[in-house]
Amino acid sequence: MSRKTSDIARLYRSLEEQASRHPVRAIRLIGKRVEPLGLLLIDDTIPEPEVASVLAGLRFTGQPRTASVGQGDGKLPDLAWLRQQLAMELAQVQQTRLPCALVLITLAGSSSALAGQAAAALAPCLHPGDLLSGFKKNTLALIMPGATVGKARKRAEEIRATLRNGAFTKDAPAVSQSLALGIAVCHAYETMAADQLLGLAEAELARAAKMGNDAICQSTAVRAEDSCQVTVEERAQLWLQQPRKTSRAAGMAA
Amino acid sequence: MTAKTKRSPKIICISSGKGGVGKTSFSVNVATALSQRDKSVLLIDGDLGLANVDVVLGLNVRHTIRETIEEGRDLASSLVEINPKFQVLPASSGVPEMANLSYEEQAFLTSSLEEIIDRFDYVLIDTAAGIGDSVLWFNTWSQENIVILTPDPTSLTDAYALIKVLHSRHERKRFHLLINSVQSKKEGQDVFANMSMVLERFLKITPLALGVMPQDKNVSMAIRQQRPFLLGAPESKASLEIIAVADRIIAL
Repeated sequence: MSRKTSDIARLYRSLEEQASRHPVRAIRLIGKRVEPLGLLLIDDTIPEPEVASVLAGLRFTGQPRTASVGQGDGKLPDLAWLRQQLAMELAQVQQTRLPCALVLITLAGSSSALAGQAAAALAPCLHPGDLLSGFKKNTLALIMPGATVGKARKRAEEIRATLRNGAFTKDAPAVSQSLALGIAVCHAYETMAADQLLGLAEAELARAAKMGNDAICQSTAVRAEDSCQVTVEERAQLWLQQPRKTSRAAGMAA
Repeated sequence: MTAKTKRSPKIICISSGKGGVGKTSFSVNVATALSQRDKSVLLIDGDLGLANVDVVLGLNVRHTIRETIEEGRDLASSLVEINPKFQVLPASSGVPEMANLSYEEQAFLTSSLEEIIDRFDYVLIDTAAGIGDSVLWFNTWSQENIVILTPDPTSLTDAYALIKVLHSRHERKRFHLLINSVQSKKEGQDVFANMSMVLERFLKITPLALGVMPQDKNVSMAIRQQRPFLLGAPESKASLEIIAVADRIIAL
């Protein structure tokens, strides 16, 4: 394992986590390489357009790696951006040996701006390093770098709780919406392309939508985490040398 | 300022799967043995939520890894010198939060550790029992993995499960097995042979034999006296074996 290489990615995540405790925004500057170009800490009070202007002045070709949330007008990063970020995160999985979770969230409702409004409402649920974008109509995609299945599931439940009451919608009384959440996770022991992970999450999303009742589903690949369970055959071999205990009944009979 | 030549310590993780098989006692004594061989050793208490290294050594600990994680305190200030060649990095006890570090905290701890380990020849990590995140993380951070097991079926199963997870999910292939608390050398050899057979058959792994530690009353006596048995009973069977194990570690 190349410790030094993985440390760079870990260092970024550590710095972002520390920055989250201060009134600053940590923006990971992405260039054309897989590795980030740097990390920019910028005062939280500086308005968004000014930040964008500063970044434009720095002439970074990529978009800053921040948890982008909608501003209530439905303007979120698109699917192309999601694919690009997901590919970078999956490359990081191999370097850091930490998993990466993708959660798709569908809001079924009549308002076309529902996803954007939901994205804005999700801001308190986002962790440093999270990436939130649009996916398809009324569906959001949330990349959770470093999240295991358990953590992704727990956070999906928090997201569901936040979105469930529908209080984020501007026209709340008029809109009735239901939720569905699909989770897929890529582990360091498997190599996965962005579209493959998206496909897995999408399949789970469809399953959750079919189940109704604001269900959360996770992919079979995710559930295959149990594959490390010690099997009956392995146990039998491990205990081969051990003296077998007689059963209670046999003992009593004797 | 004079230029400091950076050394690259050998990082060795000591785990077992099951608790109570003698990880901490082994770690403390093998660290002592290495220091007696003039090797500088750092022993990290990797049981971050239920630390024991300080107890086994009878240390009165003031600062632990916890202060580094929670307050950003310099990790070096928590080091406790046992002898000029042997230092301990203690952890906290009874702090559930420390047993489940987030990946950001793990990353922070890694970078903090990397700042202090270069001064040592060996870094030993005495992990917690089980296959929790911190256990797996310490094991993957290390260069060598020692797995301790006893002839008990529970220990065999848990040690195997740990190796299976580390191999399947984290691509670890090189495991050194230490069979502890055996009644005879033959019993230890049988346990090693059986475990080797199962690992080779199901996981295609060939483990390495690190040693066979005999049951020895000096071990439990030393734990009660909060002193390494290597110092309390240097001629005991356990001490002689631990010296042999230390020599094998040096030869790795």
